[in-house]
Amino acid sequence: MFGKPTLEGMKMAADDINAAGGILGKKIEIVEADNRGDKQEGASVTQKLISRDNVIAIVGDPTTGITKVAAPIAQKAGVLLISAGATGPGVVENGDFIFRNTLLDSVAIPACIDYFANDLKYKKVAIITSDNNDYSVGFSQTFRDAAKGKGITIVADEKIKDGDKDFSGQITNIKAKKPDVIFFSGYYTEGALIMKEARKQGVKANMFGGDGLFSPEFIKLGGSAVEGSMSALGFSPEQASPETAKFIEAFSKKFAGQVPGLFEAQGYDGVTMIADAIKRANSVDPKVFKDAMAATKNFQGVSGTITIRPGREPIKTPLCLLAVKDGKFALKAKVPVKMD
Amino acid sequence: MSFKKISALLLTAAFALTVTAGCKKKEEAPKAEAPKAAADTIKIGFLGALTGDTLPCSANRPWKG
Repeated sequence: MFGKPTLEGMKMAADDINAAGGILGKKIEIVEADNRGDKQEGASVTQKLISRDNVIAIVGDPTTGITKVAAPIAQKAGVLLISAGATGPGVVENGDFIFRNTLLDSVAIPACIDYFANDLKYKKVAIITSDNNDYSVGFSQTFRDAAKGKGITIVADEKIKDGDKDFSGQITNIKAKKPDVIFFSGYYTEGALIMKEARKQGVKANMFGGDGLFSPEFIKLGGSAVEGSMSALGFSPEQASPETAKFIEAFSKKFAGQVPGLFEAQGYDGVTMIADAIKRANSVDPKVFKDAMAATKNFQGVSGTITIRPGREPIKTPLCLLAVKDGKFALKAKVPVKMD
Repeated sequence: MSFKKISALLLTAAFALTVTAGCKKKEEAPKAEAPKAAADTIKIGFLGALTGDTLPCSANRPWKG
């Protein structure tokens, strides 16, 4: 349930803002709408939030699919919507009331490639794509595009399918090319099995992937074979900035020792970004404060520093690169993302 | 009916209409205050799954779905 952490972050943001006197003399109230993970229900409760509850803005949904259903409704009604999690296409394209505050792969991957080339001195990358997985296909293409002109050569470009168990052929091909790192754009199950085969064949390179690898199951399935494997994420509670450290401490105090993650942080930022836009616009009218939201620059959020670019897509820094160490994901590096 | 009687009837009717309108105006007054009270709060909606099956793809990354 990714709604719960998002909601907890939102509630905490509202409490913090209200404790500091509110915005333009008004208190913030969070109105909950449970879409039960269903697109039809998502459309229905979005309509209710707007017409029955008279919300002026919506934070959500964390998924691309339901955000794509809710966004046209919000746009038509002139209510600002900011998704705190959707990374797929078809979200902000709905119009000038629609935003998101999550780090996109198209922004994260170039930053990772710079880090690999400049800090880790990687020169050769092998790519593995799951070609029956749209996300993997798109993510690999993002990587290929971003690698151009960065001094990194793609020495192998292998294909698998989600659900495959035998990767001996692909690893044999990759082994011959001696890559510095294996970029896998798919999910943790296949990722773990690929790395087991890689170690079996004596491949020394570690795996790198997106949040599709970030799961305890990746470590459980892969065991020692995934030690050193890396996953790029938009948030880590480790090495926190002063703003993030304050948020983590207060969150843990409020929610019985719970350490906040990506969704709690992005839910929190969704509300504080709306409050910031209202304050700068000096108006609670979405038609007015949407322009202030679009002009957001270097906003010091708890999930990073956020700038909204033309097209209402965010750019955030830093990117958190996590690596498996002693059987757990741990922060390897905070990679700066270019904000211009 | 004399002109005076007609005038008296018209005046009475006009008075009654004025009183009725005044009453209606008083009845509507609380409705006008409701938006003002609501405007003291900024309502922000949360849209997400709190119950049900959230997952079109993997349990760890439904946001890609």
